[in-house]
Order: sequence, then C-alpha cells, then structure tokens
Amino acid sequence: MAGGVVAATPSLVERRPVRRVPILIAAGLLLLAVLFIVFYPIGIIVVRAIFPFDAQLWVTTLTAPALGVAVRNTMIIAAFTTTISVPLGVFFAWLIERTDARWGALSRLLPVIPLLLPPVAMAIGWLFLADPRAGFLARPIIDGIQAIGIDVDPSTLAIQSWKGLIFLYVLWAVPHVYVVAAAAFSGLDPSLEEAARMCGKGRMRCFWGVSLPAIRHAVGASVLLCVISSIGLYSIAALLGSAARIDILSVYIYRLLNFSYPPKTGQAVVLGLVLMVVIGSIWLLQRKIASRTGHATIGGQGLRPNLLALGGWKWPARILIVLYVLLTSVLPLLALFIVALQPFWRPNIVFANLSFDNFAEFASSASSRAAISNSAMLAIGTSTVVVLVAGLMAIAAKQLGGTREKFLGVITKMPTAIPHIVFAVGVLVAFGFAPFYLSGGWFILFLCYLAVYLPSASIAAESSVQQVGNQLVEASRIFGASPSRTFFRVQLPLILPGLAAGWASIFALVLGELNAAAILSGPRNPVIGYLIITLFDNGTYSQLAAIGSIIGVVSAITVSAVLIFGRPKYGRSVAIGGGQ
Amino acid sequence: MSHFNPLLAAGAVALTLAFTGSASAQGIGHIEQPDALIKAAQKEGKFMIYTSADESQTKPLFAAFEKKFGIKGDFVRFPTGPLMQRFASEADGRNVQADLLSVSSPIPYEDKPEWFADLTPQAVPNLAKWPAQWVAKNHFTWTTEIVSLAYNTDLVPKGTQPTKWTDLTDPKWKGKFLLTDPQVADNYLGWLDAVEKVNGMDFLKKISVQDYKVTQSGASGAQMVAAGAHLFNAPTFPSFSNVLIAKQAPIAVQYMSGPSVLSPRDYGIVKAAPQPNAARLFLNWLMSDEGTKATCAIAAYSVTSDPEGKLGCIPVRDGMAMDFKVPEARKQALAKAIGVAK
Repeated sequence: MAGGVVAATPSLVERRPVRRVPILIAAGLLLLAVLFIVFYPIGIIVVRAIFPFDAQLWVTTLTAPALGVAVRNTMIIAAFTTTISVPLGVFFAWLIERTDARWGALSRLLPVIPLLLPPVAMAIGWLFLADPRAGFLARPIIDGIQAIGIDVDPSTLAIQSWKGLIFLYVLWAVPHVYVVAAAAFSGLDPSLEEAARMCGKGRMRCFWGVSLPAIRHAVGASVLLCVISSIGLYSIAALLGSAARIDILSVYIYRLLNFSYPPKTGQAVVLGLVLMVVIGSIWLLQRKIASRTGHATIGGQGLRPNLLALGGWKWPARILIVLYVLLTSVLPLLALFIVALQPFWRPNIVFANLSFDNFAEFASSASSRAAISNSAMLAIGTSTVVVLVAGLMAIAAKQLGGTREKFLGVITKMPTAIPHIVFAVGVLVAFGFAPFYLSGGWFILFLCYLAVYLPSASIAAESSVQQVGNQLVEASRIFGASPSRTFFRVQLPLILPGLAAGWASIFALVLGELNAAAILSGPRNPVIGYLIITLFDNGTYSQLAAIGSIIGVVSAITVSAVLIFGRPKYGRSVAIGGGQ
Repeated sequence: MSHFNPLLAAGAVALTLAFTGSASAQGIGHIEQPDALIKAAQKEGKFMIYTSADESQTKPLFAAFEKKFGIKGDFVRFPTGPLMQRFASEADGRNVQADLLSVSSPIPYEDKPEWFADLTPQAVPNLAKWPAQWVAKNHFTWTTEIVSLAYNTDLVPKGTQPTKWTDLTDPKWKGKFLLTDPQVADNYLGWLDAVEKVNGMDFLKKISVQDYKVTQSGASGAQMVAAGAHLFNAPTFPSFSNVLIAKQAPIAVQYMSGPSVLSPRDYGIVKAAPQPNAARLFLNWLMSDEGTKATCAIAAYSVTSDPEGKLGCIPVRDGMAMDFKVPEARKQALAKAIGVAK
C-alpha cells in the first residue's frame, strides 16, 4: 500500500504546487521575523566591535598563544564527549524505546534527569561528591583505601582534572543525546526490526544492523548537538577545568569579556565569527553524510512497536540504566539537597545543624519568587515558540530542498557561534532603547532566548522532520486535505515526539541560563540566572544548592509532563495509516 | 594611590578648606544633611546602584538609609566585567538606569569621565571632609581592604598559617592550596603586579610549581577552604569569609605582608542619573559618621575617612597601593609566570 502511494505522489504534487504556498508564506514571514531577531543584534555587535576593519585585531586575536591551547583542549573535550555520549545516549534510548528493558512511563524519564539541573548546579553537586578531601563520596572511599594500608594521594584522584572534566561533560551530554535518539526510536516503523528478528538476527546485530542505521539522522543530529554544545558549555569548564588549569575555549571567550575592563568585545566577536564558519561547516558536513547514507522514515503503517525481548539480558540492562541514573542524577541531587540543608558545605553531616533555612530565605525573598515565576514563564514561552518556529522552518526547508534548505539550515545554527553574553549585549542595544524601549522587561529576555536557543530547537526539529517520510503527507494531499490541515493533522503529530524532546531540553536550558541574564535581567525583571550569578560570586554553596534543588523540582515536573504528553499517539497513527 | 592626579587632589583639598574652614579637624558627621537635598531626594523616592560589592554589604546599608529617609535603594550586583558591559550598553543607548556606580577599580571612572558627574562638596556636602588623598575628580575611595589569605582552622592551626606571600612557596603546602585566578579582576591582577614588584618573577615561578588548584571566584574559594577541600585560598578578601565566619565555619582570615596590598572600593555618581538627588543624598549619608558606623557594623571594613578606627572600623593599614594600569604584555607575562596562563 505504502509503496503505491509513494510512486503516485510526485506527479500529483507537481500538478498542484499552489498547495505549498500558505506554508511557505507562513515560513517566509517567520523567516523574516527570525532574521530580524537574530541578525539585527548580531549586525550591531559586528559593526560595533570590528568596524572599521582592523587587521591587527584579527592578528592579535587569532595568534594569541593561549587561544591555541584553548582550542586544542576544547577539541579534545568535544571529541571525548561526543565519542562517549552519543553511543551511550543512543544505547539507552534503544533499550528504553525498543526493548522490554523499559518498565512503565517512568523509565522513559530516568535518563533525562541530569537534564533538569543547570550545568552550574550539576558541576557543584559533583564537586560536593567527588572532591578528594571534602567530597561526600570520594573522601570515605579514599579514607577506606588508606585504612587498609594502601597509600593513595588524594590529589591524584581530584575531579578537577581531565578525567573529571570529561566525566562531567559526558554526564551532561548523554541526556541531550538520549532525548533526540529516543524521539527517533519512538517514531520508527518497527517492521524492519521485526523482519530482522524473524530472519534470525541476534539482539545486538539487530541494534547495530537495523535500529541504529534507521535513525541515522538522529545520530547525526546528536553528534552535531554534542560538538556544538561541548564548544559552548561554560559552567563545568569554569568550575573544574580552570581549577585544574585546563583552558577551554568557552572560558577563554568569557574571560575576554568579563575578566578585564574595558572588555575585549572585538576579540570575542572575531572568535564568534570564526566559530560561525566552523559550526556552519560541521552542520553542512553532517547533512552531506546523512543524505548520502539514507535512513528509515515513519511510513504509512501503524507504529505500535513490538518491544524486542532481551531475555536474560533484560535485568542486567535495567540495572545498567538504574546504575547510570544513580551515579549521574540521584547522588548529585542528594548531595545538593544535603548541602542546601547545611549552613555551609562540610563533608561531615551533623544532623543537628540541618535545617530548611536556605529554602526559607529563598522563599521569603520577593525577588527570588519573582525570579522563579519569570524564569518558568520565559522557559515555557521560549521553548514553545522556538520549537514551533524551528519545526515549521524545518518542514519548509525540506519542501524547498537544495540550496535554500542549506541556507535555512545554516542561518538557524548561526546564533550558536556568538557567546550568549555578546549576543545579549547586541539584543540590549538593538531592542533595549529607542525605538523599542524593551530594557528592563521580560520581553527582551524572551527575544534573546528565542535567538540563542534556535539552533538547539532547529537540530531537534530537523531530525524529527527528516525522520518523517513523505507517504502520509502525500496521501493527505491526494485525499484533498489543505496544507494547513495536513500540517496540523499529519506532520505535527508525527514530529511531535521530536519537538517535545527539543522543548524539554530548551525548557531546562532557559531555566538555568546565566550569561544573557547578566546583561538583560535586573531587579525589575529578575530571573533564576541572575540569582545564580549573584550567589555564585558572593553567596554560599548552600544557598546555590537550594536554588539548584528548586530548579530540579520545577524542571522535573514540567519536563516529565511534556515528555509523557509528547509520546507518540499510536492509536491515532494507526487510524491515519489505515493499517493494523 | 598612583592613579590620582596630584592637581586634582590639590584642588579637592582647596575646595575642602574653602568649604569647611576650621571645622576640618572635626568628625565627618558634623555636616548636616541639607534639607533641600533631602526634600528633592524624597520626591524622587528611590535610587539604583550598580555595584560589584556583595549584597551582604549593600542590603543593610539600604535598610538603614530607607529607615532614616524613606527612600528605597535598589541594586544590580555583578562582577565588574559584566556590570560594566551592561552599564556601557545603557549609557551608549542613552537609557541610563544607574544612579551610582561602585567598583573595586578606578579605571571605569577614568576611562569614561563623560559618564560620571564631577564630585564637589556642593553636590555631596560630606565630601568636604573626606581625606583628600582618597578623592578624585569624579569618584572617591570609600573603603580599602588588604589582600588576604583564608585558611581552614581545623587543618591549619592558628599560628602555623602563611603570613607573608613568600610563605606560599614552602614545599609543605604543595598540592594543598587554592589560588584565585589573578586574571579574573583588576584588583587580583593588581595584587599579582604588586607582589612581583617586591619579590620578583622567580617568586612567581616558584609558586607555579606548587601544584595548586585554581578558583575563579573568591566566594567559591572561601567555601572550599571551609569544607576542607583545600588548606587555604589566596589571594582573597575578608568579605568572602565573613558570611562563613558568622556561620561558625572553620575558616579565618590572615592579612598578608610582604607586601601588604591595598584594594580600594570606589564610588561615583552617574552623570545622567535618573534620580540624581537620591543618589547624592545616599552618598552624603554614606560619608557621614552615621553611614561609616553603619558600614563598619556590617563587617570588618576599613573606611578611608576613619583611618584610626574611631568609628568602629578596622584602622586603614599602611600598604602598597595597587597599580590598575598594568600593560597588557606585563599582565600576560605575570599570569604565565605564576602558572595560570600558557
């Protein structure tokens, strides 16, 4: 049935090109709005920072010896993070979405728990656990080893090291990979896997030979996401990398802007422009590789998958997932919570000294309460709008194809290359004053977040859209559905799991965003990032841990709801596909 | 203070003498808050400070000021870099939000004098009584702090802690201390410049092989020391440890010598301040005896108008003034020598 539909559609579509027009007009208008929001601030920054052209600025920036070291270290981190996180995240997604290792809706949420904490809180949580002299976990272990007569120098086990840095980058990246891969697995037509199983392929061969190639786009998107995010991640690098004297590019750029007066904005913009070219090239390369190799798509058949029976491996797989969650999420959250109850971080837990004072102090502050509600509203608004925009643009790009698709793909990735703090300065200058006068309000933060999180949403949306085949869309058109009806009744439900995954990631990222908040937030429009920066520089870890715990709870409730809501509606899929 | 113009200082002295006459030997608090200024400020009803000072310092002062005058203070608090990014963007966009700026460096006031109002006794009457060596054209030094070392009192018994900078090179501390990255702010870099001038590059190179860890924040450094993750953290400032000491954490502060390096905190009034009168009144109050006592009741500060500590402040110590205009090449050489940059 499906094959017939696919064979018939091209000519029908060619005969009725007018049907693409409304979506393309909507996408065109959106594109103009996005271009304005993204490129007007970037243009202002570039003009202010590097015009009139000064060759010396470029030479000084690009020949600095410290830059070479930072770039090398960043490449090492990005390579290790991607190499470890992508297989791990994809494997967990496969286990939970395609095998009987999952148990109930809860198991789908477990691997994303680390996503619910801002990276700065996660890094501090791990510091509480793994510092060799004061960590809740590391210190008893080292004391135990020394007690049995083995001489071990605590410094050699410091988390402030290459090993610790890569470990935390991986912990942070795995859930981002997981949400993209899980969305792809959940929408994947199970017939190929079932056919492979019927042909006698083993479980792992089924994974390697069938399931994995079928979600190639999602894997490619995950690699892209990992590389780009690793380059941009600041908090972990600043807290643990700098402690070990490992310079990372994000910290290098941050230092140009924050650690001297006047800030070296020109150098930061030059590096941002170079990064734009690098990231754009990586994206094009990933697209080229993905398009050459092909992938499976959601077809016209129903999508209720028969979960692969792991047999004797089911419980070891479950234990692996639980162990992962325990090590990556439960323990650091527990550490954060304990320190939030302490007056200050101390390795010995004195129960008499534990109290909810830090939470009470937080709750009693009107500014803190406003920050929580502002951040929650901004996170919901930003993630919803940016994901819908990215989804629509991804669909339009797929319809346009060719150079125009590449153009759309590249411009939606460009904000990644500009450090948030630089971008925020551009947004403040562009929209803060005449004629817009948005400074000091929530809408200016919203505009900034829309632009800076467009790349993440775009990567998730493209992955979902590429995963959806043309059969159902063409069938809908053949049966006379309007393009908008096709979009809302066919395409949107099919890409919804991928968009929901992107939504969840962006919600958590907005909730803990720091750098744009430093420029655009203030007493009149406080957000959580504003509080975190203030506490990071002058508060106590206990106060920071209290905020981290609160953010964790808010994120957990919201993201869980969305991921459960965003699951594929198999019944509806069956009805649309007309099969099973 | 090498950054002060002697002509300006002389001018300030002349203004001071002209304005105060024989009363100059008296306490600062003898100058009344002018009624006209109070009325104008109360009409504005509020003011905003952009500051890099910690909020434990700012909030109690605002509360005391609001109680006395019914004028509410608000503040934006960030490290100097992002604070000035924000301030500069608003100033360039002619949409200034700040009435006052307070940072631990004179550079912003001197680099962009057009952003700040001239400080005169006509604008801020108590300025007339402020020691002339701490007053410049558009800013004045309010407090000074000695660059310090914070140590864990459980792990380093009192009396055995380092007391002078050269003690950091002792092999017994190898791998056990936390260095605040001097590149994070002008006043840490000022410390690095000062200790090199006294002890030489070889001293920095000896520190670089001590296998220390690095922190980018004095607040984080103090907490890691209190937790016992490191024996001590330096360079730092007492204000980072005050909150922990109040919570009975095992941490203490050692004022270091060889050299004792002074870090100033400056104040200036923004020229395009939306609430200029409230800003002037707050500054005038801050410079009064009452304001000085309120400041020193919060924590152990040295207020420059109370050099002998008669109002409850820590006496202003003799020390080496920081040079805030260290050339870029020297900054890089110093950071490389101490091992925080490649």
